[in-house]
Amino acid sequence: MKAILILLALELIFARPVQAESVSGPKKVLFFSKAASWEKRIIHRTGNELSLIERAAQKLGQENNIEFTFSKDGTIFTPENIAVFDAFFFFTSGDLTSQHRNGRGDNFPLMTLDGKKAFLDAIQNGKGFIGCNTAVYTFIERLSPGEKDTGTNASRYTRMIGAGYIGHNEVQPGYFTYMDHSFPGMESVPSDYRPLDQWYSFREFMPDLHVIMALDSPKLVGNLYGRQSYPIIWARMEGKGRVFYTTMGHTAEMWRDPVFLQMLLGGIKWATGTVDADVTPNMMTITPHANEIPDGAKRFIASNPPKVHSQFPNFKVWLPESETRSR
Amino acid sequence: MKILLLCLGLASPVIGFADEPASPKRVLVFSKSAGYEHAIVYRDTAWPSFLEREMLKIGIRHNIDFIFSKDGSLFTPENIATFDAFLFYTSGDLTHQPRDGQGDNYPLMTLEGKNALLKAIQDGKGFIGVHSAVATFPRSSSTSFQDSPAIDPYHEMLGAQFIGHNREQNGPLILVDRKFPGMEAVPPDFAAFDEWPAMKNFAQDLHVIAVLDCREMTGNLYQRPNFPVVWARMENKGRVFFTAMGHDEEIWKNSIFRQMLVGGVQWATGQIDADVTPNIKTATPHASEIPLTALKVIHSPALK
Repeated sequence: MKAILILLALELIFARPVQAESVSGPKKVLFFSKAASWEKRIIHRTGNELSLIERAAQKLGQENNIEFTFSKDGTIFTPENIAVFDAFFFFTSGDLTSQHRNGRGDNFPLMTLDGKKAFLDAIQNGKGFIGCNTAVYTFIERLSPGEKDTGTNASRYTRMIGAGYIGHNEVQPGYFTYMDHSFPGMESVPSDYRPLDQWYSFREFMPDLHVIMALDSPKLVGNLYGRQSYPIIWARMEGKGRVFYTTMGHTAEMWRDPVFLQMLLGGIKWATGTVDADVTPNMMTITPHANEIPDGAKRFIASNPPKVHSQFPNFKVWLPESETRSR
Repeated sequence: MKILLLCLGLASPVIGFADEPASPKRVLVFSKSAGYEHAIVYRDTAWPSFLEREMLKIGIRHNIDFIFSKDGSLFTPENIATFDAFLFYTSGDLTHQPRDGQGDNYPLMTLEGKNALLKAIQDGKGFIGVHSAVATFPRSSSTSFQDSPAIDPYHEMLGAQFIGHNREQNGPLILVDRKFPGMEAVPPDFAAFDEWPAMKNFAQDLHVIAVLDCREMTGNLYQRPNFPVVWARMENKGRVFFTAMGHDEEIWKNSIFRQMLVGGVQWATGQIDADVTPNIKTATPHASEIPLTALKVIHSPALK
């Protein structure tokens, strides 16, 4: 235990709650934002400064008696450390156990396979999980290199979070077909809420999702939205663990949007067990066609040449061969 | 030559220089961070960094063909041969980067690649070091910039070793060579707000261009005799230029800083000649007399 505390003191920055007294003490949430693939600016730390979303969460935690621990260090995932937390907040990307040096992502230590397993076991046994935006673009391969094949199709992480990742078109205002106003944090979301954000498209939704918000996809621009309404915020039970996911939170503006922060807070409060909610599976009634994906929406098609080309025509990049192939 | 060079976008020629006969010099702008990653070199996913966007503008304006990379694995003799000069805004040991959170995730340089680069400079390629270029590569095998005794061949090429820096502040410059390209229009009382690396073990053949006037500086590292912060030197046949300046966006918006940098690039690529007779012994005769108290960063208690 001493070693853990030293590790935490050295590696992590604590968000200390302002409240001196509370009945049960603050909930402890590990706010984890390692990027093993694309690293968005809003999660990037300059030097030792917290990232934009870490600072936003820190403020949210101070105002709401949640004790966030901010880390990007995958080695923190040991059974002993995991036991300390009530829930895990992920804004991650890529395979956190096997990152190649290809320029994408940060240089923080990797998660071990044992750490990944211990983490997923802990969710199953009752820890909470809050996935945000790129959290669904994490462990997208069925298995991490070196992981034992358990014979399932989607990765264990993907099934836990509740859906697989397809992609997204341009940032644009969102339109919604459904909101569960009874879910914590959703009470005061206006029905004409039109946040400017990035909207992921998903596949293989778990049938036991409790849909909290569903996208009015046909109203959006881009080939990936050429499909019927599908969930973008949901909750589900993974064994005894409470799992919450929201696709929102790509733009810096969202982290200053009180409506988004309220929804996020509601998800965190529910996942940590501070509040309860009815999460009866409703996906098959709210979004019955969510798992039907027309051929034209199965894969990202760029509507315009990528921005780098059009805005910086003279930007000649010298890239590794592996990268040139993927572009 | 295998096509390792990838031109994103249309291979549009630089417009406005149709009458100019000389083909533009090809300069690699390399900004991998194996140590501290400056905010200005961070690429948001695939977007060019602030530094890269500024260098693009400079390249268009001055007809220099800048190519950008952070991929250390591309340093092979064949690739190196395609450039006229190399501009480094790098940090840390580019050949050895533990996964400790510091720096970016771009591929490392190999030791062979590093040696090939140093050899190419000796054989006539140009080198432009900017700011953290001096905080690049450790001395010998040590991980500490403070304590290792041997001088890394990279630092011999560059002309000095890094000690550290205190907080950003106004740095008054003493202009030693106002004839050097880019220096003509620098006002004699020029001072810039920047982060100033303190340095030691200066090469004795430095042609000092500008000196940091330490007398008005705060922080323990500057309590020492004045030392060079902009210089040129010959690494055998190669032209080496260094400027300590360039920490954040503000200084890159300073037209005098940019002018000095452009002059350095133009000289290092051989576009312009200059007299680079060693002058360190007269310009900064006491630069290497560094009190022990100025050899390690001591943070003032007022700073966090």
